Amino acid sequence: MLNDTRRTRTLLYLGLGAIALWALLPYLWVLRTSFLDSFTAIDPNAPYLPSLDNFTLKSYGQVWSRFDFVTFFTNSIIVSLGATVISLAFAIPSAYAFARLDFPGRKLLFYTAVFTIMFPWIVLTIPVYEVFTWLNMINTLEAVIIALSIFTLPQAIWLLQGFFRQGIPENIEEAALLDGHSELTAFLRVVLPLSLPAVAAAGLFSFIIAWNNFLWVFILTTDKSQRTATVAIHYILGSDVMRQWNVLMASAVLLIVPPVIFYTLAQRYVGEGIGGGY
Amino acid sequence: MSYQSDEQIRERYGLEERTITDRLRENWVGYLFIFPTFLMFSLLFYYPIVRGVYLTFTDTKLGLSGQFIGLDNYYWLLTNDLFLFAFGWTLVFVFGVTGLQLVLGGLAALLLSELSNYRRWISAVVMSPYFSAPLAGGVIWLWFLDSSFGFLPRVFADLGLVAPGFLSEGLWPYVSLIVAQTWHDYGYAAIIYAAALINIPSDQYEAAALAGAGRLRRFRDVTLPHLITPTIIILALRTAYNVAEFAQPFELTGGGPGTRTMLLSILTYRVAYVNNSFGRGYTVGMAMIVISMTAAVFYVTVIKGEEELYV
Amino acid sequence: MGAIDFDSVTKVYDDSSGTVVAVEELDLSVEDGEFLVFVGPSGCGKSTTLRMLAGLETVTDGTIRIDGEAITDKAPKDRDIAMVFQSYALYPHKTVRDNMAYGLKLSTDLTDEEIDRRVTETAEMMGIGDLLDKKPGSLSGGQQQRVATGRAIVREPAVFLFDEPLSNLDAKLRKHMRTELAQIHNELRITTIYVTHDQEEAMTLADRIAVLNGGELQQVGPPKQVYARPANHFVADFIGSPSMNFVDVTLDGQHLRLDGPDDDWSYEVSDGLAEIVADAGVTEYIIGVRPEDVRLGDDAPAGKTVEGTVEVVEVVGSDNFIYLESGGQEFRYRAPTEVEPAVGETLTVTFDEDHIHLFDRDSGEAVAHGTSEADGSSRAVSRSVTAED
Repeated sequence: MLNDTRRTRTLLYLGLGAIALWALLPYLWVLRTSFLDSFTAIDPNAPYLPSLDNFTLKSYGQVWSRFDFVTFFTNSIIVSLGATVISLAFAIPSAYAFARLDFPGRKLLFYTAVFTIMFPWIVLTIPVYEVFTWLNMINTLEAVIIALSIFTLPQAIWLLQGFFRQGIPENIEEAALLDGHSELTAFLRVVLPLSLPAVAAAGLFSFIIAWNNFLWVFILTTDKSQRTATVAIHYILGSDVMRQWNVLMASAVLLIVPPVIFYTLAQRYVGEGIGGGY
Repeated sequence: MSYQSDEQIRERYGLEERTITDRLRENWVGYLFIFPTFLMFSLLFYYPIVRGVYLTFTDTKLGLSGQFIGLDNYYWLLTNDLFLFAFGWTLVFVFGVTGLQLVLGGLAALLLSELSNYRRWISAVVMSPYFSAPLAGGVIWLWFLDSSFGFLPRVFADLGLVAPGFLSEGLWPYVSLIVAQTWHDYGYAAIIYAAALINIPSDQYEAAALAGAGRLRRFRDVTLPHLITPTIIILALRTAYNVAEFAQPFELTGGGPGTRTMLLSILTYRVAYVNNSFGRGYTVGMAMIVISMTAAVFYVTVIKGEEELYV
Repeated sequence: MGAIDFDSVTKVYDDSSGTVVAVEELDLSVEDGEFLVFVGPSGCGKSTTLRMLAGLETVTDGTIRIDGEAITDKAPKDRDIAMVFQSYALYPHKTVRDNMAYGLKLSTDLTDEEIDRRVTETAEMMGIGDLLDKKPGSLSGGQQQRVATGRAIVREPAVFLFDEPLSNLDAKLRKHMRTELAQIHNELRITTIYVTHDQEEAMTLADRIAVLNGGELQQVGPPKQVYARPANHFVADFIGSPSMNFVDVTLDGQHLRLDGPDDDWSYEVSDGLAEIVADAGVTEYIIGVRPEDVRLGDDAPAGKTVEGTVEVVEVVGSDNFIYLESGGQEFRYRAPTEVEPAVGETLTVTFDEDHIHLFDRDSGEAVAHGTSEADGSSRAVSRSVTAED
């Protein structure tokens, strides 16, 4: 920026500090609780920053034994990975077709896909629930995976088509056609290897969306054994059992950390691709 | 070139005789690539939407195929006080949250764009709430505002003030829901704005500075015009998402105390899955669809204007 | 071998945004080993024509043949052609060596050693031997251009296609690469079709130039012929820089005079030219004079001079470009360096009758070049060329 003065710098840092505080404070309170023992966690006289003696990692160990969090987090990983793989398998070719091929009906389909991003999904669960009932798939991880992959698909398409449009040199497929490829092999052997970073980013993004999802798992499963971490935390919070807040907050931290780390890793791509939303 | 109408040209070169099969053969790669997605969308998106609209004219319940009952569900809807309340409160919630997210996200992006060192890391911190699970957002704020163990009530107490019940008393639950939702998603606006700000060519600022424009004037004349399209995009998308938002408010208040903070999304869930009335549930959802799709039409209109970029 | 025939080739774009004829009934033959340049303004159909030849666009109507064999429905890889794109379209994830070897690996049975030998040889010839293990991203624009050209050469195809290959280079490098491409063609003698919007590039490279406008072939012929005997007003205007001067004139048959837009502007013609013009039966003309055919008119016969006010004098070193205001419009004069009038001065200039071009104002077709008759309609020219081949 042009002509900085010390005063504007100070204002800038103050503003950023305020925003960072606003972003982090609710997190920090959860983090604080998760690192305390169960007694200090609910002690109204414990200082805001308790002494180091009270800090413990015990609650992170108890997460796995007190509740079935091994199952819940395993389920989270299974459905997130499954949804990511499926949605990428569908998104890669269709994003490519939207970005670099031309055929009658392309725009219409593209705009319909945009509408899908903005549809209120809670409403959609109702008829989809019927579909899964007919398929006899309610309360299975397979149904959750399928539902989550259609949920992440529009966004994966959006992110990838932006990359195919701008990140792949123009005429590259045509050069490949002249070098001896067919349209299919040009895509598979030339375009796809070039797109690996973007595919990885789209995959990471799909994983985050699926990992964070509550609605579909909540609607489609009833058995405890099919729950993912999000839904499990909801049920534990709502249950009447004696709550161990430090353990509960530790599980929340475990739920929050992976997406935030992944985002930091994929930040470069997300800014460009996120135009289509979350 | 001799000037002919489209029809004359088509006739002359026999383009009218081309059949759908010809077109398919010519563009088979495109259709092949799009087909799997189209199939999946049809099965789990297009068909369910249509089916859902049909449901609103029936008394379908979970596991039972219902009878056609005409407009009864809509009559029920419009005479239902809870729905009318939820509709109004949803509008307040959506516009309040969207507006706050826009302002806060824009501010964050502007400040970040001025930063030269550690921008990536500070961005990650500022945007981090957006990437946490919405349900976790609900848990976080539930704990943050908890009247016995929460941070905010404790600060009130330490200052010698009486903390209100942030999730139960008077207008506070409404404020809490809006603030918590703003917290979770303002990062989205910040990301979009940040991308737009980075793409403003710096020579435009230099030209404006040479022309004698001060900091404020440069912001008005150079920065603002570049933020109009992103603003409309954020407004449209966030409106749609905030209407559809379920997990975080569901966790935070669940529509309560009682039904005092009932949002359309939670109401849809309760009618469909707690009362087992799919037909009525989708009917409540129709109100959400109307709001979301209005926003979607705005969105598509805007991105159509920048067709080069997107389509 | 690589003789090419375009037989009434038409391209129509027909989609929701409308129906557009991009190339209309193009008839053209290119001899084996010839260097043919398509030139024209953007949107004239030159790139579309090239891409139809490459197989990257479908042909709506007509036939394209290479060595007598119809290739209209063949896949690009089966046409024995290589192409250099304006964007170069190098594979960013492959080294220069792999970029150049890729086509040979895919479409020939050559052994790896043989491929490597050919790649190295071609790279030496293009002066990029030391870049073979680099990735395109680390190369300069000029180097990328060489790699793209090398990638085409190494294939030893029947036909080379160039789609504005030098447009992304700066002016100096562009001229340099132009010379190199000409040398390469002299050595290899492979049929080359080259598309450019730069008429100077077209003039210096081509054995024959094909001028396109609005999807229609305007004229095809050797550069000199296109320059000296443009078939119509469009070609005359497009070829040559600074471009030809045009003045709307009316023939006064009685006084054998071409009358310009006002009293200051008239030019007497001889009996011979008047006869040609009379045969054409047209009175409304555009007269065209190239700036370099204009000279100072102090000793010229009366009635053959034009007066103008000096508006701008551009000194370019070898010549001076003088912009006159005459008859209400700009009149360009390429003068020797010693002619350096002051701005505002009135200058009397003249030009020989041999150097004037007359175009029918209605149709734009050339009627006369100097005192000889023009070659007939541009359509007829292109057809006759086809017939000769």
